Amino acid sequence: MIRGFKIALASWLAVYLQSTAANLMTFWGLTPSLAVIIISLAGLKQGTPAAVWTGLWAGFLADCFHPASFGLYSAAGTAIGFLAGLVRERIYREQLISQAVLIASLTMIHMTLVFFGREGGKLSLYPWYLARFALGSAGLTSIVAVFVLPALERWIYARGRNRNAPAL
Amino acid sequence: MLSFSKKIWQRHDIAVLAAALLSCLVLALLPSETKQSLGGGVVGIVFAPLELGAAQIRSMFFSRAENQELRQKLVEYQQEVFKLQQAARDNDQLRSLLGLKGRSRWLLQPAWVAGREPGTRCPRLLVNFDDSLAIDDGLVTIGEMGLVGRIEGAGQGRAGIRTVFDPDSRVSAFLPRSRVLGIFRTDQAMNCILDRVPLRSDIKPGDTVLTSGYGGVFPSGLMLGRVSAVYTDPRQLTMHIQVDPSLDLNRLSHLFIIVGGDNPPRPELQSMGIPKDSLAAKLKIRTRPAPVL
Repeated sequence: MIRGFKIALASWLAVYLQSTAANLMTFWGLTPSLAVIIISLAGLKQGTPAAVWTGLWAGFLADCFHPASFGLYSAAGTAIGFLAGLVRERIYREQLISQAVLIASLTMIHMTLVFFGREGGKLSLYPWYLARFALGSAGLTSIVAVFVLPALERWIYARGRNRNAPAL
Repeated sequence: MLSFSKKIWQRHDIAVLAAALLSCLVLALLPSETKQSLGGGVVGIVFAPLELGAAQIRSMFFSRAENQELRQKLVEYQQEVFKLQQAARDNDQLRSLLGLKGRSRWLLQPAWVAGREPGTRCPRLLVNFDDSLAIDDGLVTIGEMGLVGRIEGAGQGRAGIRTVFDPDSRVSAFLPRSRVLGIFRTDQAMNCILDRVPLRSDIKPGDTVLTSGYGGVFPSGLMLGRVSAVYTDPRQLTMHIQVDPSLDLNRLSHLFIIVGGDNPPRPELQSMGIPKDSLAAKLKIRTRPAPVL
């Protein structure tokens, strides 16, 4: 229950930072996707259902900034949450490198889904978008994740003090 | 990849995915007014406390240096205002002598930014204003840096703004130095460009770009930016002009909505000087030498 609340809070902060402070982190027009980091973490630590609900919540908050395409970010978040849960058992999820690679892949998938959802039939623009934005943002997100993930993991998934542990 | 050990409808993760996707579908199928009000409401309620806190923190960090800068500017502006008041008096007298319409006097209402779309040049802003104001869609908003955009989805004390960076936005622009019209818009890479400017126009980097008022949507004379680069391709009919926009949404916290008043007159388009005929120099009248008598 408390974990769920913490994840919801982290998603809320991530979407807010994405919309304001992420502009300060923008490098050559590329912005890290903070919500993807939270969704991936939920998927890796708790599995598919938690990641799907996290993706839906974070996506819904992002959708509120895009009323014209309402539901698109929710669907994209849900999809990458599902994927994060799906690959949970198939990678070395305790390794930071594996986590970073997964986050980069999910960022690319997320950006691709949003691109096709928003731009519709402009398929000819996709290679340019992939080369200019999706790959760069995926790399930047994974770099940010390397620094942010351990702290987030400690905060959300920290175990309480074991009262039955023998005194040393 | 998926190991279907159970029937698909008995799998918990698939059931969760289906429920979440169904929720997305419901969100996507909501009427557009409901989407607008839901989005605006959530941003106004959920993100406004964070925005308020962030604004407080920003003001704590920057207020001291900003105060010093503002004091210095105040002295400069007081001198400037004195000069401008004199100039305005002269201007009014001359206008009355020439029978021209008076200068613009807009009726402005303040508003403050409550939320913005992610992105460096976001196409949409959400603003709050005094609840007692009746703000309609289509009203123009300006900031200290020039034109911001148009109101869309106005509600009680809250409204959305489609900014000039919106990919679908087109603003009729005017370059005062060369008196040329163009269309100010953003391209697919979110760069601001000036479109449909004839190839042989006299445009240089650093030229000011203002609204022309000829589009019928925005009043004339509002700052849009400065020309940053000019590219000409002789095979094209128009120039490719990049504009450095004056509007910086990262620094925009307060703005004004034009709710009434008189717009300034639209600019004259013809050049001030008498243009030289380019063919005149090439025409050579051949005259036969007079016969020697």
